[in-house]
Amino acid sequence: MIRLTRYIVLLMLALAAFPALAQDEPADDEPPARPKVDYTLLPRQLRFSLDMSKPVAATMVKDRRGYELMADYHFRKDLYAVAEGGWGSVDYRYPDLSYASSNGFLRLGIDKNMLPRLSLTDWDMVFVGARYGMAFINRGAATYTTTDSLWGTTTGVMPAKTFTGHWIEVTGGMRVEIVRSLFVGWNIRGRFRMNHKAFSDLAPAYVAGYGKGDRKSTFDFNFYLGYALRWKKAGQRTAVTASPESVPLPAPQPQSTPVVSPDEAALDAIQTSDPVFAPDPAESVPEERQLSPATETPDVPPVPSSESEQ
Amino acid sequence: MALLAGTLCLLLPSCDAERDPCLQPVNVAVRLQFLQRAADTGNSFRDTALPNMLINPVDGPETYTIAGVKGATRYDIRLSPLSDVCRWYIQPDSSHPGRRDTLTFLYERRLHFISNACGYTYYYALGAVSTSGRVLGDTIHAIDSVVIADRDVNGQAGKVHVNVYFHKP
Repeated sequence: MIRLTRYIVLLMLALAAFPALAQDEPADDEPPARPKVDYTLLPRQLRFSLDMSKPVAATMVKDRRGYELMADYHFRKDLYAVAEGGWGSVDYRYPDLSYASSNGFLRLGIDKNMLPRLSLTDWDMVFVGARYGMAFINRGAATYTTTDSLWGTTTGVMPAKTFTGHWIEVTGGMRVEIVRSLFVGWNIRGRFRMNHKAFSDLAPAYVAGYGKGDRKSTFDFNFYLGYALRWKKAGQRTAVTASPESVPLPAPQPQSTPVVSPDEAALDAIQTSDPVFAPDPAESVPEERQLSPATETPDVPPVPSSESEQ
Repeated sequence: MALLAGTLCLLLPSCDAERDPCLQPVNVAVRLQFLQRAADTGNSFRDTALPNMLINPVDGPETYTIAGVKGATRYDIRLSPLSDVCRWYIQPDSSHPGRRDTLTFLYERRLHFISNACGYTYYYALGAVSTSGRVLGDTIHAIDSVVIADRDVNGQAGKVHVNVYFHKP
């Protein structure tokens, strides 16, 4: 299993390098100017992900199985609130030690995106994060045998036990939006158990959400497939709405080409093409008023404008 | 995705459901240290090397003889996990069969979980250790006295649990 873990981590790191290889070479030594993104125009995003690695691992390691789900919510410029949960079991059958154990778990934490956002539609991320985790473990009665070559063997039964495990973890990984709203990505995790005493009499060989129960620290990876839901924030400033005071009336233009910033164009693209990004009916602007501020000043009430959330 | 699936298929044979190996001693031992009075008077003692030691469990389930241990100043024995008492006899020199003693250990067993790879074992808390030459009908005592140095027998390395003081030959 250790060898498999090593291979898969190396594979994930290799995959992580592909987007970097795909970038165009800069024309000169000057770094390209990075477009400034107005975060107030970002829609809300709630993403649900399923860990695909655990079912695959369960087909190879017969005595244990686990399932993990993840939900993350973009709540601030580069921050995501994360909730993860799942369940699993182990059926440990050996001549000297035999028992079954199952558990559910919950992890809560945050992820911070380290990747600069290129546009309003850019939801790819490379992130680091932290979690607090807890598992609710139900271990059945265990049969054990001790062997001493001089004195002989002893057998006994350890009674069933229900207890809770707590740990903290650090994590990192990436997510890539391969088609609209559909993500793939991976996490690597280092976990550190906090309550060792609860695991002292018989730690389960596998605790879903944590790993090997008889280790004080564990390492794990996940491969996620996710789907994102997006919607507009309540009271969100739209790309076509501007304050009359902040936008002076322009001189009449001989040409009727509207002047739209890149971010506004991106948001328009989202609104017109993304079925999950439905504008709030209460805030929708009548069709005859959907004109560029560069060509006509709308007579809707001014909305306070903030440049960014931070 | 196709690349990942292919790689996992290639790795499939390398991921058997093998149990982790047990990489630590399972059975713990009581360490005896052999000492002798340094002089006819005074309370100073020195290690004594038993010339040709013979040491056996008295009432083990199987015949088990450890003989010909030369120059031993320390020796590890195992307590019985089947009961709370066990006996060993020590003969410092195998060429003097009448000069041997029995050590009797009284202790409390404590079941201890090592890991899922190693399973369970017993640790012990020594209650008393006594010596006698009468169990085997011996009349000449080689051992003067025994003293418990550390009651906890838990596999911790480097600890001496029982000091065995021999008469001067």
